[in-house]
Amino acid sequence: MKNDRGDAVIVSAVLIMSILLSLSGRLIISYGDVVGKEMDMEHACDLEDSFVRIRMSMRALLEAEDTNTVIVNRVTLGTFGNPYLAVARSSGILHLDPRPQDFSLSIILRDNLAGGQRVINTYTGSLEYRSNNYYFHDQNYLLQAGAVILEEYGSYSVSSPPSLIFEERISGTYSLRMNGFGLSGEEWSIAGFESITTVTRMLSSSSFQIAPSSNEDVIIRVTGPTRFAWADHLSSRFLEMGFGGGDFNIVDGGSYADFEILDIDEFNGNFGEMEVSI
Amino acid sequence: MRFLRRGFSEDRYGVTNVVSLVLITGIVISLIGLVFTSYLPAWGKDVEAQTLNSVMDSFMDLKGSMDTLSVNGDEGVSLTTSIKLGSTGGPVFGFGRMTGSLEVNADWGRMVISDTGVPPKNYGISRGSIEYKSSNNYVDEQNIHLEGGAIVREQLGSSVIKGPPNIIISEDAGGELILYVLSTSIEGEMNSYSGTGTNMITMTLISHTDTSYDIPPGSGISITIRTMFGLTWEGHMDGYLQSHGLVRDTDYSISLGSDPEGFDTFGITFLTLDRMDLRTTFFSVYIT
Repeated sequence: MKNDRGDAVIVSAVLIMSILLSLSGRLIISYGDVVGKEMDMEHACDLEDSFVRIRMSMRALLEAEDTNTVIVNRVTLGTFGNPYLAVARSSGILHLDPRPQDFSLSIILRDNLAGGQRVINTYTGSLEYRSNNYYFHDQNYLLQAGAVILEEYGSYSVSSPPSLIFEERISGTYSLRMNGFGLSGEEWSIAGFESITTVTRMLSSSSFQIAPSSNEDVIIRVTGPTRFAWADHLSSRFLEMGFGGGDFNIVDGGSYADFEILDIDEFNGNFGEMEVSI
Repeated sequence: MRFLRRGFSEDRYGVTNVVSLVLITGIVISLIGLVFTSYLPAWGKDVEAQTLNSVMDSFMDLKGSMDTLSVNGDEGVSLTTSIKLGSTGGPVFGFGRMTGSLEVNADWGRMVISDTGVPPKNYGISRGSIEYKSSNNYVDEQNIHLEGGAIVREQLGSSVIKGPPNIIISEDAGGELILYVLSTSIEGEMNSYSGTGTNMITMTLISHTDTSYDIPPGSGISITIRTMFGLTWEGHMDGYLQSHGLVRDTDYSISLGSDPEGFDTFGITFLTLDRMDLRTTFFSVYIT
């Protein structure tokens, strides 16, 4: 009844093992979470790079007016996790959505006297990546008409701008040049962790030039959920380029947003219709 | 002797601690053994697979860079791609440690474009391939080749084209059948790099030419590529051309053989072409 010496080693060993298990559990829960977040963030950066590379390929094809060459790019859909810290893999979905109802950007010439509008050109289709992260919050990327747009917490912002160049001529006239891409091809989705390839080919290219009269304005109309991201970005770009607040106007049309350019002498556009295969 | 007898007989609990310690140590060693035999190899395999995926990503980026530079045609412009040849392994005893080697090879990947005349007239010749060879401990060895504008992955004796070549068939508005070929030469120091570290591959476009050829009726265009993966090329081109409505042995034919220098070759002959657009590019490759 009074023998209390026999269990000492067992109790000590069990206690030490409990401490070790608690420490390793703590390490996995705390540090694993940090590593998982870091991997998700690194993957988001890599994904944005991939989208920018795809756009670079499209610009190269458009500038060279090359309808022959196909350019292969990589998109990595998820992370690899970390087996030592039991970090789970985050996955994602790449989706080519050529439907105009989900995104379209139109260049419109409005006649203020007659009240009519003439659509000069329309860009449609978007390439979307939707993340399924375990650790960091979801970040979705969209490639639309030459802009890379980031969606997080339900709001959209332009993370890599479209090609929009402002030129002030010696003659004192002002000109805007925009390079844009329409995305077409079979609507397709692929999900997983691995790297997949996108094959881009330019189907056709065209260019247009608008010289609005004093009674005419150029309108950039964007439909779809990213319309305000486009309008906000264009507004910032115009202010950076030296336009004043009275030189442009943003109109919320309900299902679309109009960015009205009120004082421009010339608007030039280069347009490439790109076929993207996943 | 009397003392000893008394000692043994009076303390029956003296060995409990020792026995318990030995048992607990045994359990701990068994657990460690289980982790070493089951979990660490699986984790090592995971690390190796991750490294191999990263190498494939680098090859895709490399091909994308070459295609983009070829289209741009900006001679003298360079694009650099990083490639991680291996892995130092995971944190526990370096499980998953693997090495790889990278080589610019002047022999394989040679592409000859000619007509079907006798003797054939050559329209373009390019050469060079970039090869990666892995040295793994857990995952089966994987080799990746960039040859003839295509990325070929080889594992366990079988191979697959992961990035298609720029051999494109199309039909214009007038119904004419057009072949487009991007023929890429890779020139550079023919060195081999190996280890677990990261190397940078810098590709510089040295020159490019665009030429268009009208193909007279009865004549054809042959493309011959030096490759170890003739059957893989055959499967890929068959699938691609048939998806574009071409019929084997009517619109094109395929042959596997070897060239006079003893290298295995894949040959494809287009029999019903109206035009060929050929872009030839020369790249200088510099690996650091």
